[in-house]
Amino acid sequence: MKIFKRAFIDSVPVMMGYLVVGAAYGVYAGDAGVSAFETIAMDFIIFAGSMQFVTVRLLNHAPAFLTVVLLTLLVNFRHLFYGLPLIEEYREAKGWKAYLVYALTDETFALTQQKLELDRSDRIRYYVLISLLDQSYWVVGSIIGLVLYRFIPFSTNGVEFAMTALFFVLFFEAMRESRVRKDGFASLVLCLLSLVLFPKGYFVVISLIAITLYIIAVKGGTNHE
Amino acid sequence: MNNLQILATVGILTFALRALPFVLFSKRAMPLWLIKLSKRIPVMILGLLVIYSLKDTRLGSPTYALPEIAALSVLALVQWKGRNPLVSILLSTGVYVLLLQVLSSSF
Repeated sequence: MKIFKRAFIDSVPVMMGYLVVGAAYGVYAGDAGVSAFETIAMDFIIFAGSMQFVTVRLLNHAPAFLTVVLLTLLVNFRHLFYGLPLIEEYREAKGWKAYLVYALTDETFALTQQKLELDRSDRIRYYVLISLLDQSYWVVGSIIGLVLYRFIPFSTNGVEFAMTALFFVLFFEAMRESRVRKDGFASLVLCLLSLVLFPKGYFVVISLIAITLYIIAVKGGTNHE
Repeated sequence: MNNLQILATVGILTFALRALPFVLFSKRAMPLWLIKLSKRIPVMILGLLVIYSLKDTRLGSPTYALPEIAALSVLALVQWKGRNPLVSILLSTGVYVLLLQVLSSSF
């Protein structure tokens, strides 16, 4: 119960973001003529926010196989990196492991990167709970969007900023450790550069390549505190 | 491709990308460079996600950059002093929503 409370409280920012962005996705899909069934099916078959928006545009347009494959790899490339710090954490998740891996969105990954004062089996319960909660917010958000599309003209009003704030807080808290500070600032600089210098569509891929090259080329910081 | 094929392809590939690190290194050990990478990458990915989530907001227009700057400043200050993530996030989101609606109605 204590862990559920903790997981729920931690996931509130994700709830705010997912309900809004999920609703925007539902409206977008409805507007593009995707059926309600396919819209919700994507929440389970794909469960990756930005890729679902892209897939909405692919459906009913008979795209080539290679187009679908390349778009998916490009948009979701970053997920390749999310597992690396979690291989040890998720090792003993047993029956839940496949679900945890499947449900590893940006927001859920970010929540797994906090310092948790829990023992391992409780941490796994915590990860399962935030994954399930986050996915349920996303599904509910999509359903709200489908309903809104039918009844009211929809406009997002800024509540989705909660997700930016969540990433920022988790980044900010991680940066309290002096060892990682250099890497953190380097990441901001590299990502800003990639945003300014390259087309937006390639932002994630180019940033991740730059980060990988940086880690290989530049030594990490040491702990002074 | 028909819709069913599209959904299956995107779904399988998305899961494959998420699962690949776990599949590759559940039995065999990670090479040293990858261990180092996996230790240093979390903070850098969080930094990437901060920039990534800001890229989709309306930073392009000069009026709209104000809510972001104000809300992030409030967020940094409140989180630095108070260390309560939920309070910081709710407060800064409130600032953002308020400024966004005030500014977009007056310009």
